Formats: sequence, C-alpha cells, structure tokens
Amino acid sequence: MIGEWSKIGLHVKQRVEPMGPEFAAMRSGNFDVLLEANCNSVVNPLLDVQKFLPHTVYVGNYGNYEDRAEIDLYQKLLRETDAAKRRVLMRDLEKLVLDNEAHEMVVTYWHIRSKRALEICSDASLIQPDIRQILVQVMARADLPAFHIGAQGNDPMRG
Amino acid sequence: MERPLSAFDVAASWQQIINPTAGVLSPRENHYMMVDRVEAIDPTTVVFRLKFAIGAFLPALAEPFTWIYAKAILDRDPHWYEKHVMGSGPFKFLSYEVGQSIKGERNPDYYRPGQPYLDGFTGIYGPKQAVRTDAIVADRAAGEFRGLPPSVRDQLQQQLGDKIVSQSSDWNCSNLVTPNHKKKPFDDVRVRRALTLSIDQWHGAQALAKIANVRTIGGIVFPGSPLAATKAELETLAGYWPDIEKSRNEAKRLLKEAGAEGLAFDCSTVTLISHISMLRYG
Repeated sequence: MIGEWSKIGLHVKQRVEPMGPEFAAMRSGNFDVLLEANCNSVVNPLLDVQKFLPHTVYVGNYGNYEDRAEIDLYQKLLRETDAAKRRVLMRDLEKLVLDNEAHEMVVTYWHIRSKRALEICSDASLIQPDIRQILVQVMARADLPAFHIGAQGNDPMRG
Repeated sequence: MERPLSAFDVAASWQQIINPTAGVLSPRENHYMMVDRVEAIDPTTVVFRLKFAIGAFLPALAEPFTWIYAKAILDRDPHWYEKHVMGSGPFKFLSYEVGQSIKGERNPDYYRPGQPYLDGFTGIYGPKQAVRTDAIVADRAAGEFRGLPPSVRDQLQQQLGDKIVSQSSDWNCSNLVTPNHKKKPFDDVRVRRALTLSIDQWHGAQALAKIANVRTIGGIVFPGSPLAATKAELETLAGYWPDIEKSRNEAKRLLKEAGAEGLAFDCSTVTLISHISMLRYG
C-alpha cells in the first residue's frame, strides 16, 4: 500500500500497534488512515455491508463520517424484496461508498488455510451452518439442555 | 454450576444483544435492526417480532458472536458476560489464559446424542507463523486458524503429504482502508478518492497472492455472492479502473486540486493475533 501511494507522491509511514492501543486509537479517532481486516460474521451481504455505514449506525465503523444519503439508501436496500432491484441498490451503495465518497477502500479478500486433520473452530463462514442448526434445535426441543457456567475467564470468542 | 435453559433466558439474552442496557456494549446490535421485540411466550417458545420482512434475519440469528445467558444473571448484572462464559454447547469451558490458550472439555449432557466426538480441545495462541507451522508438522496442532501464505502451504504439503489438507477459498474477510474523515485533509473527498485511485488492485492482488493469504478482488460484497459486483462492474469504480496510469493521473490531479500534493501521513494497523487450534483426543 505504501509503495502504491508513493507512486502519486504521497509519503506514508506504517504504524503497527498491539490490539489494545490500536483499538483505543480507532475509537478515539487518533489516526490518519487505518488498514483493517473486515471479517464478516453474518454471511449475508445485506447485513455484512453494515461495516461501511457511518458510526452512528454501525459502531464498528471508525471512519468518523456521517452520510444521511448512504443510510437512507441502505434502509431502502434492506426493505427491497425483489432480487433484481436489490442488486441495483447494492451497486448504488457500493458506488457511493467506494467511489463517489470514497469513505472506505476494499483491498483483496483473504484466502487459504491449512489443517492437519480437523478444524474445530474457524471463521464465521465455516462455523455458521453448525451454529444455525444448534440454535434451531435449542429453540425447538422440549427436553432443554442445561447451562454450564465457567468461572472468572474472559470470553475470547466474543468480538 | 448447572441450571435449566429456558426460552426466558433466550429472550433476555437477545434483548441485551439487540437493545443493550445503557453502558453495555453490543457492537453488532444493528445486525438486528429489523427486530421490533423479542418475547418468551412459554418456557420453550421465543417469538421475534420483526419491523419488516428480510431473509437476512435467520442467518443473523446464527451469528457466532452472540450468546445465550441466564436471565436471572443478566437481570442482576448485565456486564456478567464480559468476564464469564456460559453455554449449552458441545464443550464445557475449562480455562482461558490471556494470550496463551483456551481449553474445553466434552459436555457429556450435550443434547445431540453421541456428540461431540472429541473429549476436549486446547486452542493455543501462536503469534509467530513458525510456531504455528512447527506445531502442525509435529502433530501438536490439528488445524491452523488464521491462514498461511502459499509458500508455507506448499512446504507443509511437501513435508506431510496426505496427512494434511489444504483448503483454498475466499474468506468472507477483506482488507479495508479507512481514512479518518475528521482529520484534514481526509475530510476532502478528492484526497480520499486519490488514495483509492493510486492502488493497482488487479496487478497487486496477483503479486500478493504469491506471498500472502490474499487473492480475490471484490467490492463491499463477498466475492461469489449473487449480490457481489462482477469484474466489469468493479472496473467502473474508482480504485478498480483497469488502466492504472489513467487512474494515477486522475489521483495526482485530485491531490493538486485539493492542495494535498506530497501529503505525508501515518497508516496504522494492528498486530495480527494469530491462533492455532490443537485437538486433544482420548
């Protein structure tokens, strides 16, 4: 990225921070430009694209911008039930975010992982079907399972 | 400690996730903006009433960051979830050491008969790639959580042959550049557009795919989704133009017009927390 920006005469310094200080900087707005990894968790574009909405709508957006037109367009997209029209609205949202306003820039999607035998936990796109099944079964069964409570530990799985 | 799980617990948990008590952080509450209210109508039935119809509601319910905790505990302390783990899943929580490991053991009362198949698991944090690959080679790790570059994958394949499986697909995870609009000159759309117009996505991705676990170019929607942009559609957007010289010339023009030629700034990023999962058998 730094090399690419240098080709138009920009001078960019990379700053790598541990998670705690970096998130503190992101939340307080103490940064110039962020390079983030946007890992989605719903695996449905209508909700996954919320990362691109202003902070007032999606607290995980750190761009510090407000855009009423974008929010209105998103609300219209959410409520559109015709697939073809929904796709047109998504293109409109994409053009607004990435081009007209350049609120954010998407650069390459992640790829490849290796495993020796079996993976017990992975990114959301892989574990979601199982979790969906579990949720449905929990809600449907009469012989309900029991809670197990672990003591005094942070929950590292929670984002 | 065990207690029966009821629909009242489920409803109370979702109410906290969707409409958290003041002072409680629920980063993904807006994934549920279609929900009007959640209520338990008896011990085994939870009803979600929606403001409008949307197919994305069902997958949103399966979001792995959500949780179901006991209503009595949430009523008493809505922050309880911040330092405790609770669940009814296949494994019972054993321990968590910050930056070291997380351990779980088989839940003998799991509601799916005969499952889980494993007696337990240990997930170990491995910030350095060499630690993660060594663990796989030595059969101390069964899976690698965060992805590896192609060269490492090939090396593992050579060393382990048919004992290793490599999965290659796009993740629902992109790299994202976010300018701080509150900091000058990034409040100026011309500067932001210049940043994106200078990046040669198409050639850059080809080069990066050889050395890193990234590959596919996409827009705001996960590549391959029916709602994702086609390559032709992407090429109409700033940052995706096929003619990179034209794109960079436009970027330079915008910077000049905005009075931001030769701009210097910091690009900050977080240290990647890498993670491997080791399974303990028997």
